[in-house]
This record gives sequence, C-alpha cells and structure tokens, in this order.
Amino acid sequence: MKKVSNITEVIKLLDENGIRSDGRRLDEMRKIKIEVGVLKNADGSAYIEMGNNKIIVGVYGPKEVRPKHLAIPYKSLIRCRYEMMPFSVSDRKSPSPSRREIELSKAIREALEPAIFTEEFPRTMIEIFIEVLEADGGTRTASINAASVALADAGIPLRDLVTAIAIGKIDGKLALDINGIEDQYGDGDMPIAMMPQLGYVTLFQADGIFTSEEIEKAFEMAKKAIWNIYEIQKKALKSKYLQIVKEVDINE
Amino acid sequence: MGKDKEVVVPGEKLAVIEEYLPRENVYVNVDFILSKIIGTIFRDNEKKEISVRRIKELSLPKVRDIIYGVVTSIRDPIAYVDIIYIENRNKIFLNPFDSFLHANNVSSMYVRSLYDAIGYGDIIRAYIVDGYNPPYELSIKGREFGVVYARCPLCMRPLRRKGYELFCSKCRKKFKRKISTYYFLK
Repeated sequence: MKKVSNITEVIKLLDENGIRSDGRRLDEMRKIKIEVGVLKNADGSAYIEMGNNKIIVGVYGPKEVRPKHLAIPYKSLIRCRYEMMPFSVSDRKSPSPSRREIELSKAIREALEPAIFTEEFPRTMIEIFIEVLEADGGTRTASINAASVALADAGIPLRDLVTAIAIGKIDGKLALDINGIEDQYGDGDMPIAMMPQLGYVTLFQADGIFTSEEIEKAFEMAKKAIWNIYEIQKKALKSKYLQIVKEVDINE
Repeated sequence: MGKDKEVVVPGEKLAVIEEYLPRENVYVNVDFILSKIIGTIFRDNEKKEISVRRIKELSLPKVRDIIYGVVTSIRDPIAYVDIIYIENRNKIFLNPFDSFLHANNVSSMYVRSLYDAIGYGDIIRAYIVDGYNPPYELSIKGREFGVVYARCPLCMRPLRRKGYELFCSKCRKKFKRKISTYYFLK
C-alpha cells in the first residue's frame, strides 16, 4: 500500500497550470491518424494511431457461417476478436485470450452492431479482427474508431460510422482521452461510443465514481470530441476512395 | 443530372425526404436521406431519385454469377452444392457458400433423376438463378453448364468424355452426366 502511494506522489498527473503529464490540457485529445485499406487480403481494413496506441483492424464478410449451427435465419452474425500482441505492453503479454480481451471483444461487438444493417444479410457472418500493436490507454475506443472505418471500407451497409472517446477523472477533474498512466493512476475512466449523425449512444461504460453532474459534463465533452474524430474518419475514408474514383475516370 | 462522382461515407446526409425518392444504398432517418455505404452519389433529377453507387463490390455471390461448385450430397430431386469459385469476378472461396440445384434446373429436356445428370463429388459449372443470401439456387441449363470434372465412383480415377457420356478407362464403364462443353478431360 505504501509503495503505491509513493508512485502516485512521484507521477504528477496534473500540475498547477492544469497541464497533464504528457503536456496536454484537460480538454485536449491526442493526435489521431487513420489509414484505410492497409491490408490486401482482408475485405476491409484500417490502421489507427491515437497517441501511442497503434491498432490494426481487418474485416471479412459477409460470408458463410461456420460452424453452421451459429447461423441466424433473419440477420447476420457479427463476430469480433480484440487481441493484444505480446509486445503491446511493457511486460510481455501472454498471447492466450485473457478475461479482459474476451470481455472487450463483446463490448466492441455490441458497440458496432447497432450501426450495421445486419438484417440485409441473413445466414451470413461478418468478422472483425482487432490487433493491438501498441497499447497506451483507451484501446477500446481507438479499436471502435478503426473498426467502424474498416467496416465501411469493406462495403458493408452502415447506419453511421461509430466513433468513440474515453473521458477520465484525474485529481477530481474530468480529462478528455486519457492515456495509460492516467488510466492506471487516475480516479475513473468512462468510454463513450456514439453514432454522431444519428445521435445514438452505442457504448457507455464507467469505472470509478462520477457524480451525475460530472456524467453530464463528461458526455458533453465526449460529444464535442466525437465530432472531431468523426471528421478524421470521414477524411480518411474519402481520401482513399476519391483517389480510386479519379483513377477510374482517367481509365474511362 | 446532378453533381456526380461525389464520394459519400455511411451516415452522411444526402438530401431531405421532400427532395428525392430513396433508391439503392440509401435509407431514411426521420427527415433525411442518408447513405448506407461508401460510394458515389447518383441523383436522377428527372425521376427525382437518389442512390449511392458502390465503389467496392461485396464478395457475396449474386444472381447471374457463373460459379464452380462441388456436389456435396444428392437427395433427389435436390442436390447440395458448395460454391468455391465465381468465374466472372475471379473470386475463390476457401469458406464455400451453400447452394442447391433442383432437377427442374438441370436441362430444358425431361430429367428422370438427378443421378442421370450429376454425381457425388463432381465439380460443376453453373449459374445462380435466385437468392440474395445463402443458400443460393443454381441452374445448369445450357451447353456451357454442367459437370466439368468427375471421378469414377468405383476406382476414383478421373473420367474422360466419350460422346455424350463419361468413361472410366480402368473399369471400362460408362456414366451418365449432364456434361458441360468446358469438361476438360477429352
């Protein structure tokens, strides 16, 4: 117990000027870079860099369901696998799926499923594979951002892109897009995923203690950030496809 | 015609419902017409229709696709076929799609039994007549469609074409099949 208190004393999450350990303000996001269509063999793919997070997502489908008994007669089956590479964290992570990974796979799947027109593809399945190459807090939100772009890249009909961001609580104050240290030593973590155009919330988790006012404030903060990320997602998708359309025009 | 070659992403607002009729790859949410997929907008101002055209095709087989499949079981009058390849789009499926072939769709002439047209384990060249999702309905009507590769059920040797029948050179036996002009062992 003593050791932990020493660490929190050494690591100052927030200084007197309201600047965080990595030099950001409380309402500042990390830099985001999204690339679309990075994998040749997958139907759709995306790569995201969100601060130090590096995540690659591949999407397959719609395709025949195996094993057959899992097929749903009125809609498509969504399968999602979130996996962290052994080198993604400072200690080697065992490559076997941990409790956390299995749970996050489910959470991400449930965040993406409302956006997909699953009823258009009965008796088929859509597979989403998320590989975390480097993790630094907020991998689930970064994964959702990349996965929705990869789904769009695969040509799967979507209601909207799903965009996510985490709000944390450090030293009693709300902070946008928390990183690894803030997640570990902070007071709370609240990932939120939304379909920004439709205004639907598809993921809302919270870990730590938040008052109702804080939740409302956090939600407003998240909404603002989500629109920013949505623009980046849109830009990434359009930049790839505008190029293709131009190439087709030249060939015509 | 409207402004073409404008790329839109899923969920992007294209128009208000009063402006256009929603057609392919768009959907209506409350007051707006939104895009379902990534593609280019197509506005038909004469018919007042709006649609989004795909840039990337889905890998699902479609009606009128020419496919290669393996006969996995025959239960007269239906045979079950695994689609392994789409010829016109050059797509291989390692995870094959399910389809079925009814005796009605074998030939324009009368077919007494499916066993006269195909055999278990045969590779057939067929086209999809119905179904937007698995299982697809196949047809082998036409000269180019039918069995393209078959083995002898007794000795498992590849059968050779002899006239309108298939022949096993070892067993000296003939087998009835609906043979495609693409049958490759002459």
